[in-house]
Order: sequence, then structure tokens, then C-alpha cells
Amino acid sequence: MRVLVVDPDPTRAALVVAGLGDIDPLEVRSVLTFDEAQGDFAGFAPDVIIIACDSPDRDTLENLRVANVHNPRPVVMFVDRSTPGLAEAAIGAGVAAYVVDGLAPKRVRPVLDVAMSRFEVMQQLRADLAKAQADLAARKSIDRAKGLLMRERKLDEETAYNLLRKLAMDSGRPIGAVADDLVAYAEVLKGKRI
Amino acid sequence: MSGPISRPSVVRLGFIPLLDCAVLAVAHAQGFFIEEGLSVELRPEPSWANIRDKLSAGLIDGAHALAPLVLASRLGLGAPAADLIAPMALNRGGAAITLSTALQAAIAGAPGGLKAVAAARPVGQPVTFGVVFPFSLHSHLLRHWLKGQGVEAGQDVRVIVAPPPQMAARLIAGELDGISVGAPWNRAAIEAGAGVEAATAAQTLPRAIDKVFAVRSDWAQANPQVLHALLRAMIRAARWADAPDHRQALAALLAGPAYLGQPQALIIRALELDGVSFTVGKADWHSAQRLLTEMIDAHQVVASDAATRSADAMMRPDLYAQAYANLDMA
Repeated sequence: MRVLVVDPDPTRAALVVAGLGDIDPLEVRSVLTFDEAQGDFAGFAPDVIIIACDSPDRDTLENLRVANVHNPRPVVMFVDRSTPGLAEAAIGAGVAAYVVDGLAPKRVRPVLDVAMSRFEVMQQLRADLAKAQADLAARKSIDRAKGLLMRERKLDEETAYNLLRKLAMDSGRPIGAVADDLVAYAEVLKGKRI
Repeated sequence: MSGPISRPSVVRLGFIPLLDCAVLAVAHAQGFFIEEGLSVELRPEPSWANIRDKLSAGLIDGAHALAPLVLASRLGLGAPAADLIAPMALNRGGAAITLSTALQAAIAGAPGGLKAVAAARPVGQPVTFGVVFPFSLHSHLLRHWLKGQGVEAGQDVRVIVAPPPQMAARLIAGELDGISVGAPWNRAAIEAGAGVEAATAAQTLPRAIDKVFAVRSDWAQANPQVLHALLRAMIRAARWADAPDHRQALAALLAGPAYLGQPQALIIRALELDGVSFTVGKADWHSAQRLLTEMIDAHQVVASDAATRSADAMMRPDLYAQAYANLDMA
């Protein structure tokens, strides 16, 4: 079975391709855009196409026929009717599968499962990374605000931090945001801004 | 707006960057959604397939959608069947066919017209048209036009699908010989000197609805007040968008990176010249039956009682009328 992976994100595509490597027998190709594959689409003739939902090429796929002069077969979205909610879960994970009409669902399912799990892993990684970056930025802001309070109000570090935490709790906002505001307002008061 | 607070905190709406997303863009940016007590998250989607699937899967609550795509979803064409409804139309006009200047010149110089030009192409390099989606007014417009030229799509010429924002660029690059796409992309190709207008939906299919606001039927039933408020905001937005006094402001809004990311001057000329109107609101069952007839004619679906019934239930002029009646149009 030949699988084409269309994904504008090369890192994620590599993860999917690596995951698919465990399924036998399989031949996998990956491209960033469907255009890239157009030239040798006929030569490679994929049975399954895994496409990222953030690719603008989905609509092109929806109307495609596999270029076979004798029997052009439509490429259709893969729907496994025996598993309710699967289509929704796949879209939720940000991935869609298309098959050349007539391919048996039980052969496609493991491919889609791998793609979905890899997309979810990637989503999680991205979310974790974003959170780590936000946490780091917040910690820097808190340190600056703490320093400011320690200098201006002659507080020790713990008291300065507790004051920030109280401000955050009272206003119902993250402590990092409160710290950002405090630093910004202090700069305005000192004439460093505006 | 009184009543129990059964509203979800955020209503998630999707759109495709086109001139006819104006009603959603205006309702959002001019604060009509907020004035109706709504908190709306409006996000672009990269494809119509995404709009359809996210709507069906409940990942978004409502969307700017091709009217024939909504009917296709109801009929289970191209994807699992989904009970989508269209309580409001978002525009008429704007869709058009643009030919490359080279193709236009070739047709003008060939006694046999497009058919002769197409037949003279070398094997493997057919005359190629781009259309935005299989289930679209644009595909019906192209089919009618080709028929008028005595040409059969898929036999004499090739028709491929490409996203609207790529159309003008691909015509300019010579990859496509003709495009059937919505505003402002025809004008973008024409103003680049790469294309000539061949037909418009405003002339060929004057009564056809292009885009609609689509939601899932079960969502509409579960959130009647939210839908009511959305429709009110969008009816107000449509009026705002059609007012000539607001043309500059509308163009400035749509030209921005959140929507089209195109020159404001181009958007203004598209608004002035391409026959788009937004205050078309109420869509009745006639318009859905016309869509079905087009789809049957295009061999996309076989005529049946079930298909007719499904089309009958697609538009919801009752929901529109409720929102409209309730609106103080001061």
C-alpha cells in the first residue's frame, strides 16, 4: 500500500512517516504541498493520502481522480462507518485521510490511527513548548516586578512576591500579567515610556 | 435580549477569506455581535472541506459556507452526511469567470471557438480551468458557460479545484487558462493585465445564492437564543456593509491581514464593479431547490424524493424571519 503524506509542517510529517514505518507493507512519501506531488502523482499512485487540515490543498484533493486513463477512480474522504465519531476525532486532531475509491477500510484504519496519534503528540508538544515559553517569560516579569517592589517599597523578596500574588488573586489575573503591568506602569511614572 | 442565560461563553465561527465573508467580518469588527450579547471567535479556515468538517464535527458552531456545499453535506456527498441548515444567505453576485488574455485571444482568432482551441492543444496540456470547489455556484457557472461554448468539462477541457486566494496567481503564472472564482480574485487577475472577464454569476445565475451562514441543525435547536442573536447581528451587518457610505470603511476592514490581506483599492473596485450584494438575507426553499436542480444537472446527485425533501429543509426562512421581525431597524 502506498501512502502520501501532505503536510506543510515538515517536522510533523516526519513524525507521521516514522510512525507509519512500523506498518508493513507500506511505501510512504511526504510532501509539503500537494502541488509538489502533482508531477509524479500518477507515477507514485498513492492508495491513501493523509493530509493536514491546515493545508490549503484539501479542496483540491476533494475533486481529484487518480490519473488512470482506463479507469479514473475518484479520491474520496476516508470514513470508517463502523467506528462512530472517528471522523470527528480525526478532524479534531487536525488530520484527514483520503483513499482511492474502493480500498478496504481495514487496511486504511491503522494508517489513520498512526497519523492521528502523531498529530496529537505534536499538538501536545507544541502546547507544552508554548506553555514553557510563557512560564519562562512570566518568571522574568515576576523577577523584574519583585525587584521593583524591593527597591521602591524596601521590601524583602518574600514579601514582594506575596504582594504580587495578592494583587493577582484580587484582580483574578495571572501573576505574570500583573507583574507585566506593574513594570509597565512604573516605567510610565519614571518617564521611561510615553 | 432577555431570557435564561443558557448561552455558551464563546461562539466559534469560521470563514474563508473572500469579499463575501463581509457580513461576518462587519458583525465582528463593528461590534454588532457584542451588542447582541455575544462573544464570538471568528477564525479563517484554509479550505471549504475544513469548514464543512469542523462544522459537522462540532469544532465550530457556525460558518460562512458555499450554499451548494451545505446541500451536499445534507445529502452525504463527498463526506459523511451532516444535518446542516442555512438560516441566512450572505451574498449574491461576485462570482465570475475570467479567461487568461492568451486564451481569450486564441478563442477570438479561432472560428471554432473554445472547442477548436481545446482540440488543438497537445496531448497532456489541455485547456485547464480552476474552480473553487466541486459543490459551488462557481462550478455551476463554469458548467453553464462551457456548455454555451459547446464544450464538455472533463472531456474537452480539464477542470481542477484550487483555493480562491491561489486562483489569480495561477492564472497570472499561466498554470490555469481560466478561473471561476469569487470576488475579489477575478479583479485581481484582470488588474494584473492577465485576464479578461467572460461571464458573471450576477448575469448568468442572478437569483442564485452564493454563500450562506450555516450551522448544525441540532446546535440550532440547542441554542435558539444564540442563533437568534447571531442572525440579528448579521442582518444589521449586512445593511451596514451594503450602505454606500460605508464602502471605504468596509474595504479597509476586508483589506486587513485578518481577512483578505489585499490592497484596499482592489477591494473598493471589486465592491463597486462586481455586483456583490449582502442584504439578501432570507433564503427560501425555492433557492434550495434551484441548487438541487443545478447539482442534478451536473450529475453530482441523482434526483429523488429524499433529495428534494432534504433540500426543502435546508434553508430556514422561519428563523431568519423571527430575527428580522424582532429587529428595530432604526
